[in-house]
Amino acid sequence: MSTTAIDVHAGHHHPKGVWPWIMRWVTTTNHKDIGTLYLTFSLVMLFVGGALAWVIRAELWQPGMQFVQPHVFNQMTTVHALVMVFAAIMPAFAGFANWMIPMLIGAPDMALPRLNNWSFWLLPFATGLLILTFFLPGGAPAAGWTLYPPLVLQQGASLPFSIFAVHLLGLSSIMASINIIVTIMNMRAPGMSLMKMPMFCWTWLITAYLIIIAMPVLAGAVTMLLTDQFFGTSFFSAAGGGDPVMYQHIFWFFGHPEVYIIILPAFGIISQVIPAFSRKPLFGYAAMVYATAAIAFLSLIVWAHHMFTVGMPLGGQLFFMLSTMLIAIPTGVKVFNWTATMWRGSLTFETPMLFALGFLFMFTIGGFSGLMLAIAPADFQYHDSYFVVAHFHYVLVPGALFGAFAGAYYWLPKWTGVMYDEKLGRWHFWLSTIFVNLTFFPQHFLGLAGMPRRIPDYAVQFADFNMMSSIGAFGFGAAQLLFVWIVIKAVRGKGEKAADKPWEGAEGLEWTVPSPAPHHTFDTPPVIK
Amino acid sequence: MAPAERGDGDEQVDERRKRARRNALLLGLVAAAVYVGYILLGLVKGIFPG
Repeated sequence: MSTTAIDVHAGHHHPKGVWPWIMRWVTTTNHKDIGTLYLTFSLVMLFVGGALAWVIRAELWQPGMQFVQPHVFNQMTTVHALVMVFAAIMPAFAGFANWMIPMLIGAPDMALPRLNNWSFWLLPFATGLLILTFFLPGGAPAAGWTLYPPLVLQQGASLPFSIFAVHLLGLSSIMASINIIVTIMNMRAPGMSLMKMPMFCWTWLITAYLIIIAMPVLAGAVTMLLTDQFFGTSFFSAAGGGDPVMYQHIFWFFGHPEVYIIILPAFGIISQVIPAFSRKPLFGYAAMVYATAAIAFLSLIVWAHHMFTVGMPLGGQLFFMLSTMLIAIPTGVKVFNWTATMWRGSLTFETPMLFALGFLFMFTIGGFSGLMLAIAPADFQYHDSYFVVAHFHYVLVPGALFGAFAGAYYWLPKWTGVMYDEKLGRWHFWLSTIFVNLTFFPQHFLGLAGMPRRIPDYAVQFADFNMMSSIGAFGFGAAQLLFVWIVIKAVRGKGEKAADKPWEGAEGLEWTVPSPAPHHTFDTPPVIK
Repeated sequence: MAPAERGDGDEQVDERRKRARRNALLLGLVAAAVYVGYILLGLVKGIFPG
């Protein structure tokens, strides 16, 4: 690299030529670069997962078989979920963590920059491996993202590929989490005690611990699938003395914390955005920290509510029902604290705040339907119906994804140095909000009326709501192109120059550095009083 | 204890990174233990209800 011409602009290195440019991104150890890589990758994967969702919704446009065979339909639902969870949403929040955590705590970079690079670069290869399974004999995995045996063991050549992909994705998440924990624990600027940290750092610290506890469990479960298939073990095979239900217990011991791994960083972003646009400090900071920790703890002891219908002792049903309902308490603390933050604040409604408010309303809808599903006797009716699909999409789309949009608009001026197009941002918010509700709200009614999930065809009485849902899905996907355009415009520097602190009510160390943030920040640690 | 808690900036970034590397190794071992632990649990039949 020493012989390469380098243009230094605002501390950024811009090597001339294609190969040096590629190598700059492949070998970078800078937290801002790696954050950008994560965010870009996750945005691309959002569209890949979205394309699969479009196939699903096109097939469900009307009753009867239209476009794909049932087996292909099942591949779509499976890979859509795996891509969205592991390659879109999780990397998006890892991108926010990389960009923002060092700046929020006054550190010069992540504690382990090379590990950081490796954590990212595992992702495209792992995801590529997963997507390549579409081209194998038998196609991609089609047993649902839960990969339940014995079904998943009866399907083509995709199993070892998808298991290896899951291993790599898990490894990437674990390494990123280790990096985040040690960065927060060791690299904070003098005077920044844990209870002075911005909430986003707290939610990520707790999330990172959850990942380290939950991800190896998933890796263990899929390794047992692998040995059952290829090495003659019978972990989950009843014929050999094993138990397929045990897989479900192990999977959901990972799967439920995973939901919180996705949503807690979004909580953190919302806790940054709402105070900034209310021009008031976050109400009940300490309570917010304890509530986040309580949610994380409870998420580890509720897993069997996903499998009430497989049968379990009454004591088990009661335990998992009541522990699940308990989660409503710390979650309620958070929702009420966000509301109290806004109470008598001087509110303005720029795009980040709009997305934060959309999050608040619609995540709460998802939370309430979650409470309904937690009731064991009622769950026997709802289980495996479209009601479940509506529930978790409300949590993940207007919940987690809107949280990510709120964060992207909030920090875009710091990342790019220009203000994004506010008018287009509002259009993006309103189109997304209308279409996301059109997509998922009717699915509650479909589920309650008895439409099962994961089917390519359905009875005619479900036709109208399915058509509405499909129109919503096409519209929601198209509306996201607007976001891509807004981001490209900002990245190309088209727009009003952003001040160091573009938001009047924003607090935090990130607003003390210039916009765009220089390549290296806080080489000398700031002192926090 | 992190420099943040001590309220001083004496410790150099390199020293902090060294401490971070030790902590990272520990967390990696915890993750590996959970992974191995669950497979061992899987080997012992009947631990889970249902």
